[in-house]
Amino acid sequence: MKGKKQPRDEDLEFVASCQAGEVDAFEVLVKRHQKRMLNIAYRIIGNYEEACEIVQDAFISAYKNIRGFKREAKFSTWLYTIVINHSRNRLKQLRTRRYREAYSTNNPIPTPDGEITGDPPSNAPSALDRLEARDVQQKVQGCINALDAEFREVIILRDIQGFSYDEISAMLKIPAGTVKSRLFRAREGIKDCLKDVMGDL
Amino acid sequence: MECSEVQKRLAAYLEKAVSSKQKALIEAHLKGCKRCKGALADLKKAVEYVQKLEEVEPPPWLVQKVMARVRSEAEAKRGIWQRLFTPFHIKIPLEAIALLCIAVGTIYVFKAMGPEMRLAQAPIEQKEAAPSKRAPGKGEAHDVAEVKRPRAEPEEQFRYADKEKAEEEKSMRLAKTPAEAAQEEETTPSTGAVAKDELERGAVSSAVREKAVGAGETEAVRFRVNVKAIEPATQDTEETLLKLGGRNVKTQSLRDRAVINAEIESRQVKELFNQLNIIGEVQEQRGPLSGGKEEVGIRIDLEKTPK
Repeated sequence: MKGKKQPRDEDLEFVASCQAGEVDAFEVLVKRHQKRMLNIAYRIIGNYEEACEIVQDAFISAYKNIRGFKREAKFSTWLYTIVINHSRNRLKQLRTRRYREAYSTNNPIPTPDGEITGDPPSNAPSALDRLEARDVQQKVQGCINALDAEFREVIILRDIQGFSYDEISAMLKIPAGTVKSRLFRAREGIKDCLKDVMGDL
Repeated sequence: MECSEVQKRLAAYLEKAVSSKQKALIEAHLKGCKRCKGALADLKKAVEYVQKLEEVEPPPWLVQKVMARVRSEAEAKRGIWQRLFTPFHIKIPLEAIALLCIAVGTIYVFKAMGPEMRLAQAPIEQKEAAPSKRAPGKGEAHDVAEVKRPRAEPEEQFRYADKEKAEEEKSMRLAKTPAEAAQEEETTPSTGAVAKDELERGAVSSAVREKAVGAGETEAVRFRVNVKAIEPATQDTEETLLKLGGRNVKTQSLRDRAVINAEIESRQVKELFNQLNIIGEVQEQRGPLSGGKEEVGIRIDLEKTPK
């Protein structure tokens, strides 16, 4: 595992403080990892508010279980595993509620992106660009959402988050070969989906 | 290689995850197949789209919210820690000690208070009565009492003497252990009867473990014997005591009575009793008549038989 090979994990110092009961040290870790945590959750779940909740819950369970972190992997890997699991579970809950439906062009899934909707349309051409970009982004997100969870997780971690196969393998606790094969299938799926949604790529 | 096979492997090809042999085959196919080439381009584009997805920024309150929850979690953890573990280590012993103190205190107060209240009433009566009778001094008191009640006098005299002692000792004992005193006190049925009872008990206790009047011996056995004449009876008694191996025979002669103190082996007490019955009439006997080799104090009161 890459975590093992890399002895230098900048988080460890703070992790040790947390394990010793220093609450403030955890804040450093939260600040450091919140963005990536949120993006993972957001891409898996497809909803910004939900993702924020998931990230909070994930940080809380990380804090509660920080004594259980054995330094076998990088702390970040451990942390992302938690947020992935939380996202997975939340997704299951939402699915059983039939909250989320498979993506279709006629009925686009509302994926409110805080950053984009929050911006005032001050610049006309830029706003148009953004609108288009947002449209594409929504479609891509829709296609990601349409994938099965196992494929979605892999493509998010690899193509969006840029983790190595080893890291993904550690996070999802599956062999690196499986990560690859899932990634290929996920990409195929995305390609087909996008072609359906956007017509010409 | 057919199109479907090539397209199946395009993703792997793109990721350079195919064998060199397969790679060559795929590349050969792609050169001649527009459809597959298009598929590859689409795939590349799709991946690009995914990779180009913008990152979202976390809301500024996220850190605060997380930390607030973490802190309350830490507090709760400490709270649970306290609730669960402190009692076992500190609280329960404390509670146990407190309970023990309360229990002991309660018993102490109960035991101590009862006798005190009884005593508060009883000794006042006695102290008023006792000194007045013996106020002028022993000898005179004897004479006065003798005139009035010649028979009751001697008995009464040592009883009072004993009683005073007993009271003294009792108050000492009270000061030390209220429980013991209370036990003793329990024999007193009611405050009204205390004065008389006190006398009796004083005599008993003195017979058992207190020093006799006159002689300094401990007496465990006591006889009161009525005789016709004091003097010969005194001699006879002394002889008997010596015959029975008595030691420290001491005689105190008064006009109409004599008090003899001695120490004999307790197994001889029975024989002493028999001999005394020959000398006179044993009116009263206290203490064990039988025993082993140990020495016991004997007190014999010889009294002239009233006419």
